Amino acid sequence: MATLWASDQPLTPTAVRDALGAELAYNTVQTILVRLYDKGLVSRAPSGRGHAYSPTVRHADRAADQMHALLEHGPDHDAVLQRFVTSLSHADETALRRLLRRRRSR
Amino acid sequence: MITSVHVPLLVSLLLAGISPVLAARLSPARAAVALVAASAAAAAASTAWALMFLAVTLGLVTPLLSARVAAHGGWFIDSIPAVLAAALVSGLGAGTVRVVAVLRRRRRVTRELHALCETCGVGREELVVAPIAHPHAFAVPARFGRVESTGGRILVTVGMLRALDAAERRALLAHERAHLICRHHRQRAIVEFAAALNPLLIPARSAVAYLVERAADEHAATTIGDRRVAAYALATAAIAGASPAGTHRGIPPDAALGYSRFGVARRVAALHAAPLPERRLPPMLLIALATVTAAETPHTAHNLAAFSVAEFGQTLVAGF
Repeated sequence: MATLWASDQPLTPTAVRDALGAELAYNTVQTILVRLYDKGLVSRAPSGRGHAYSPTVRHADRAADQMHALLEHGPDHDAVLQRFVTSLSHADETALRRLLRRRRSR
Repeated sequence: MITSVHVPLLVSLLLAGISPVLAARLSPARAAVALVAASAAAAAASTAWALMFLAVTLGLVTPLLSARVAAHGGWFIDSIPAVLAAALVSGLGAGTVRVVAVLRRRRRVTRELHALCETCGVGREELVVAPIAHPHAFAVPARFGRVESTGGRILVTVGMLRALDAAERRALLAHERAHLICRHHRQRAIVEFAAALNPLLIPARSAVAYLVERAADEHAATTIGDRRVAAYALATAAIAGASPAGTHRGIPPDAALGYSRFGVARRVAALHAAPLPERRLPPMLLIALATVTAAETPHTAHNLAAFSVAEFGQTLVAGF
């Protein structure tokens, strides 16, 4: 599911399997996608001999408003809100960028 | 007697001093639990003392009450440094105000997170994806009282998923799942209230916030079996969030002031380094300190809180 969301275009089961990078059978991925489709989580369009799948976008505007409400309260909120990353200081940002560049050049 | 008046204050000061050191030196999961217990005890003890001073100052302590408490092995303060009394009593008032503020803030954040999950989630799926370009990820604990497998949901934005590759996404999801499984939100709630009651515990609160993130990072690294990927996921997500290309306007660049010492860069560095050895002694000492602090609190009618914390501490020691 996360893989579909991460892509900016519809994916065929083969593409999903490749993106996952895990050793999954085509049929497994296909079954999961059909199940997601039945639940209304993804939509599909004919592509080649099969279908290409993309996630169903729902209520994007309302989600944007709600996210804004959640985040706009500022630093006080950070003590209460548990999140993956907090914002970076300038020095930290430089250091992390250097780290990621080193990784790519390897 | 006067020395024990100072115990909660001394313990709070000690915690303020050692929290950053503990955060840097100890393996995170245990250190967090110990620090939470010690903070809770220090907050409960200082509040119990302040309440007693308030009772004495207001003349609520009659000789009869005093005698009855003495019969049960407790006692009331008769003399106390005026400055200390004034500080504690006014601190109590301010503390109450802050606790109410924290309560309201928590309720609001919970409501907003659940509203987002309601909007973007499908059925009871654990993963909730919000169609938002800016990268964010949150662990959303289940509402109080609801029993489920991990007891919560993981809310991520499309922006976050697109910033990461498949392996990094697994690291991210493992991190958020660790928050849910280990119930980190409870640990953070306890220190949040402790710091609201007793501002000397603010450094302990920051340290716990950092430690639960570190604990979740370690959990993710173990789950996916690669510390490096976990580190890259974190670094990539942080950079993506910092880039001005993001369409989100909400967060000012230095919103995380209090956490700058315990920031993302330090978590990345910690994942790059070898895992810290599991030391049992320092966390156990902390919990022992918590137990002693709570037990030192006088046996007034108002210190049930201290009792329960003392028992909680003993249970924890037994658990180690």
